[in-house]
Amino acid sequence: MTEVGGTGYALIALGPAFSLFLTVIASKPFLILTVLGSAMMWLVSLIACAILWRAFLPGAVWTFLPLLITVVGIQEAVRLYYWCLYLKVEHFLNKLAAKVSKPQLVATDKIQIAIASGLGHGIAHSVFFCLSLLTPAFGPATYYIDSCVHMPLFLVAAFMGLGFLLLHTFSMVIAFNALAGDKHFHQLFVPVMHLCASLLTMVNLLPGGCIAGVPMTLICAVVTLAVAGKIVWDKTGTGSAELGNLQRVHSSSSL
Amino acid sequence: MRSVPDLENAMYQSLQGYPCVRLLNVTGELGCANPGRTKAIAPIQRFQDANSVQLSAPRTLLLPSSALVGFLKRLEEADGSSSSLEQQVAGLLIEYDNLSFPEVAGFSADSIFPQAEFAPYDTKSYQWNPTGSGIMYRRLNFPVFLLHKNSTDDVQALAAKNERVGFKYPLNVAEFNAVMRTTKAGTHTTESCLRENSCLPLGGYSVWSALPAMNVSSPTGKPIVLAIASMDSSSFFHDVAPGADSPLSGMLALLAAVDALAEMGGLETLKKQLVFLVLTGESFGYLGSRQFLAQLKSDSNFVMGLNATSIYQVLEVGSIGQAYDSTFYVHKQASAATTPTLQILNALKAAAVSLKDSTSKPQVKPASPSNPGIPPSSLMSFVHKDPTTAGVVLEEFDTIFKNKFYHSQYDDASNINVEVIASAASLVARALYMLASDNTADTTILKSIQVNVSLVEAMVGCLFHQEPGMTCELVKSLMTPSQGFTTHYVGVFQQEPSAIPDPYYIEDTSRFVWNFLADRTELNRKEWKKFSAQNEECTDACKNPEEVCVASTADHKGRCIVSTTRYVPAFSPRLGYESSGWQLLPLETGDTMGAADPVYTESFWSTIGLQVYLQESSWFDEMVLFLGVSITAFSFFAIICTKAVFQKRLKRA
Repeated sequence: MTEVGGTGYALIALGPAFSLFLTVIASKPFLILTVLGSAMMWLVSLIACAILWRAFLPGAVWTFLPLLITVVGIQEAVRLYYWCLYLKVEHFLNKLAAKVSKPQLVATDKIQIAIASGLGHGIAHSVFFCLSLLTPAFGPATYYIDSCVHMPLFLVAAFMGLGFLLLHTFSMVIAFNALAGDKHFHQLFVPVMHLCASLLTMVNLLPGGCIAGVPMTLICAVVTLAVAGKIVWDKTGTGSAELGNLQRVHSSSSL
Repeated sequence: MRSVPDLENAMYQSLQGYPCVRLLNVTGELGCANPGRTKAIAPIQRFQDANSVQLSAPRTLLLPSSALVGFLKRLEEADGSSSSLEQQVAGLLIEYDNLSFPEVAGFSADSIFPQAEFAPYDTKSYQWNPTGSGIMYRRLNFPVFLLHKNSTDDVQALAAKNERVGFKYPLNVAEFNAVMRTTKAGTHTTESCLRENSCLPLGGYSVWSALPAMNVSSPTGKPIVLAIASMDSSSFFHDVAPGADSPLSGMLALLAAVDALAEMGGLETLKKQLVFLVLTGESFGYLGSRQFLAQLKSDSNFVMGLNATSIYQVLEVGSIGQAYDSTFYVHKQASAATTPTLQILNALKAAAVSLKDSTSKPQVKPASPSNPGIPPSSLMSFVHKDPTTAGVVLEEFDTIFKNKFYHSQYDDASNINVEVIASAASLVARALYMLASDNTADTTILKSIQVNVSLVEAMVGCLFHQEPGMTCELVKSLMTPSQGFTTHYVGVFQQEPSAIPDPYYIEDTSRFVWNFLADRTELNRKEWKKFSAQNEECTDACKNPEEVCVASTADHKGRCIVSTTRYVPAFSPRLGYESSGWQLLPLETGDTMGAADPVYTESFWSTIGLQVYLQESSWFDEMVLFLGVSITAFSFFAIICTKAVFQKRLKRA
């Protein structure tokens, strides 16, 4: 609804991503590349899902269930593959650092790389599922779908985009930590939360469901954010093993 | 919905409707337009009738067509409430109706005495057109559209939805785009807008034809019987001005009469020459007839072969499509020369007598002497030039118009009768033959003049019905129309007036009339039919300057024939064309019609459109922006704080 409204929706969906990018990512070229690379991987996984499901869509409403399950499954598999690639890159970077007598990657670096990877996924999701849908919002008209008379379609899309952006960003932090430390609970948490959040979006299909569906997505995002926060809190706490690696916090990072 | 473009299509619905457009004259403006340079947008609200309209905020009014006149009257009221009412009207939508209300009272957008200022008599208050409302001449500062049938149902549903939510946003709004160049240029009269090139004068091309074909370079000097009809009409919404009864029924009768007369042999032996003239632009200051007379006076190329003194008698065929009692009235001006005018009346009577065995049995009566003079007609231009002009107007009515829908969108095919028109055509054809023979022809010859009723029916289908419309067989055999369904509003004059008429700039109706008359009045037509290979093929011009190219269409080439059928430009004689463009000429003394001429022009416009969509209130948009900015700012500060906290934590460790 007009440029004012359209800008508002875009900021709701991508404002936090923009802030995160400016404060954490923008000063470090390697992180920018990570964001781009991770976004690319996400898009490849989406293409794979699209190829798989092309023959069956558009389908009846009940097809959404197997659709979501298979797509989440494919994306989690890609996340594991991404982790394998990351390990190789980390190994290579450390070797390179050793050669030029620069410091190795520390825990904060790894957390930043995790955030950048998650942000790449989140931004790619937002652009594809939310931003393109918001283009008509810059015109003079608005749109309400029959099953959601409480909020314009664009507001629903913006909030969902925000929720999934936060979810993807902080899931990656949890995943990196879990896979590195082989923590099974957290390893399960990420795919399960992803699947839950995806399935809960189907609540929006019910008449008036968006009143419940949208907050639920945001709650999933907040929960993920809290879990990731706790992990980072614990990691930067007074745990002796990692202490030495944190000493170089003041000097400029090797990234 | 499969994609974002589908979403956009679902959001915006384009409506089909006929707009009311901005016209200008020497004193000011008339018609409708967007008030400024921007689109007019307001929520849609429906009212059942004019008096119940109460507006608390700017609205798009949706009214049934029966309420249009009453509502515009309310806006005219001198008290303060009407001006505040007008300010709240962002736009007006008129519903399509199935002619349920007008059956009773009638509706005419023109005035009670149409174009009274041109009457050659003083009684300007005579009520020729009692159903006249005069709304055509109103100046409105908001756009008005007449909706198509399908769009009417859609808009009524949207208005009902708005009512249901008590006009709380989000609301269904209508967006009007009827921005006029004259508004943008700040020109508000004909003279200023012509100077600034923000408008064009109204006009088109009239057609004249001679039967039999004349040698225009060396005319025989025979006195001319001029038969006139008009092909243009008007209404509040120019795109739907069918004018079926007024005046095109007269034109149909004249064309069918020409068709019948063309079958007769021996016309060249008759004492007088028949010339047919189909005028355009008569609804806007009689510009067609006045320009024709001006062209005669200046002896222009367009009227070569004619001159003002050789026109001996004038028979105008007016509205004749509703003469259900088979009586046609002959109107004449008291100042007309007695003998030649009486000869016309007698010719018509003789024609009626020869038709007494037909099914229609038409009768001819002189109009009531209590009439102040001739009804609104092209003959008025001739009378002004020469009050003794021997001319009559043949009409279906005596003292007041029979047509209850004069100059309105309802004057369509349902308002005329094919048999009545055919009967009038027979009357006119036989009367013209009588006149050409100086009233000496005998009944046997008259009875051999037969009008083709199916031709009249075909023309009605072509000119007044959506199907087949101008893509009918009759039209397609003679020319390729530019559109399927034409309105009979004259339109603007698009060429330089002295240029050779380029068919690209000529309206479909004029082109049809030209081709029809050229085809029927072709010299040696019957002979040609035996030797069909003789005529040269052509697309627009013929090598022999005496010949014209007829029936050239997109499908087949035309043929070069000898026919005295010519276009005459029709535009107000108060205008002249120089290299810098159109200009208003100074008024000549003694030019009473010129003094009364409003000199109509139409503003340029780029697009005229109408769409509806759902709109939020502006504060909702602002709230969304505020929310977005807050979320962004909050996340920004939250990240910075978190960073600081973690850095402190790491330092401590």
